[in-house]
Amino acid sequence: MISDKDIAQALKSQKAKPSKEWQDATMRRLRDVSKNHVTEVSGMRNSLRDTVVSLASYFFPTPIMKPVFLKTIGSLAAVCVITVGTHTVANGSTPENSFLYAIDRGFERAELAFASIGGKASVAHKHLIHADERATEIEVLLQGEVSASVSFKSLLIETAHAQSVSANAEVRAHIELLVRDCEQSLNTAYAILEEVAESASAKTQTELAASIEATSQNISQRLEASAQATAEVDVRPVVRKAVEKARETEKKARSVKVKVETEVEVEVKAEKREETEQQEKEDSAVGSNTTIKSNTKVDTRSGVEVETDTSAENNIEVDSEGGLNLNLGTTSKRRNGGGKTTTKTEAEAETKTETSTTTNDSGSTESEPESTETTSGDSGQEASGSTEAEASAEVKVETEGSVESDALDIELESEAEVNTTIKGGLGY
Amino acid sequence: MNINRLVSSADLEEVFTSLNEDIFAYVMARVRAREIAEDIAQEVFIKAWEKRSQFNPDKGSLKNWIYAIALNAVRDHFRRNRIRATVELPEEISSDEDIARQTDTKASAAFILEHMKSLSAKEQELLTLRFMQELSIEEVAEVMKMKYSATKVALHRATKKLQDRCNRFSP
Repeated sequence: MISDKDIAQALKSQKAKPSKEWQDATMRRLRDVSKNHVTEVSGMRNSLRDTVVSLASYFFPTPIMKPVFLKTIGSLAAVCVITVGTHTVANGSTPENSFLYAIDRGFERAELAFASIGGKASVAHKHLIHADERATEIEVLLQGEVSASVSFKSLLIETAHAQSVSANAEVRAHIELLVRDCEQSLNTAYAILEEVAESASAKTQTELAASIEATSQNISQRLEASAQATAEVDVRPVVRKAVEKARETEKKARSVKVKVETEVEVEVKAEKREETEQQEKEDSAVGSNTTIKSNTKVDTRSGVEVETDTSAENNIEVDSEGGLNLNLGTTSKRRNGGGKTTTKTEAEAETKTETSTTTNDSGSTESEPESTETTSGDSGQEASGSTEAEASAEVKVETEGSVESDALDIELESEAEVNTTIKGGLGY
Repeated sequence: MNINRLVSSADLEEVFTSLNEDIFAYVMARVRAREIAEDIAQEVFIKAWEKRSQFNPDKGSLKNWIYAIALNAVRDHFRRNRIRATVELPEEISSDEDIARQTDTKASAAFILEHMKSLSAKEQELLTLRFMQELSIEEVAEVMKMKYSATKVALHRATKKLQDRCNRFSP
């Protein structure tokens, strides 16, 4: 009986030894190989392989990839390659290659679906690309039309001519379809531009409008040239229709672009003007020491000051019966209708000194700043009946003695109410 | 072998000096033709030098890595030349003369090696590495890229199988 030991012993004893010649020869060869270090081709191959291996090990850190994992990666890679390849081939197809063209359109729909992730503007840009592609396809078909017609004319064979007629009819149908799609893409892009007018920024709107304008212009020019070049007269009106639509879209997009740019300019100017005014206000505030703003209500019947409020505006309200003399230095409107007169004066004052308002029993109202100035004009308003006057005034007083006083505007509201707005200096 | 790197030509010389006999013996045991074994063994070391960047000392020893190259080189040889690594032995001993001959060579190494041919290529590899090259089970597992337990079981089965074959044909 043969045991395990016998087997081990037998195999061990059969261990062959290499010859000395072989060892020397191999050593010499190995020295040559190692001295050259890396041969050019194998070196490049090794470097490339090492790079790939290191990248793969970065993403897939397991030392030995499982076959299933490798198969999955291989399948994904194959799908990607097939997809890209098919897309590339299908992209150059026209409606004549119905199968490839259907794939091409399918890819376009997928592109639109993906573009919607990036927002409406990116969808619009994608529509523009598709419109441009439709124009290219029209060009290709029209070029084919030219060559076909020339070759058939040279033949001058009736059969060929009949065939050409049917073929051209088919091409015309394709061109009509493409023209319609091209128009639709441009219209959609423009519709999106209008949609985003309220939500998108001015920059986005301008960019999109510029893209639509440029694409439409490009399409119209190319189609115009193709329409002129084609020998088939019947096709021209169809193409010209697309040209007109493209030009129309171009104009609309341009007008939107101009409008947006104008709005931006206006906004910029307004901002600058506000900044300037703010600066001026700050400068004038530095020139005065104190700002006193008061709100005064006076009952002319009793002659008592009803309410005085020092705030941002200087308001004077006067209620009187029997007549009112108010020196406003401006025009006013008076209505007779009752024995009650209400005069409301809103004054905005900036002054170093205090403003005091007094009312006497005779119904006349006087407002005298303690400083030695100022009145502007005399309205001599007398109210018989019911008149309500609301005067708004901005008073700017400088304590150095000079007074600025301008009556700019007086506005009267309603039949029973006098509303007077005065900007600038106001003399009572 | 103490060295566990293959960077310079000096490393390559040292590796060759240490391993050339083992690698040659393994290849020779598998192909059983000296010239072919010499060519394959030489190519093993050249390939090891060319692929030295792939060797990772953290994953195993340089010796086992070179053994794995030799293993694949032999497999490639059989595949390329469409040679069966396994030879079918006759089920019945046909004549008395054969029986006498085998009786004479009973337990001899040649007898066992001859019967080893009837085993599968994998079984032959396992037995060669384990008993001829005297690698440990862990080393065999690393060279064969198998799990330790699986290697142990496979070795046991291969040994038993060879034992049965030899005993069956022995008188």
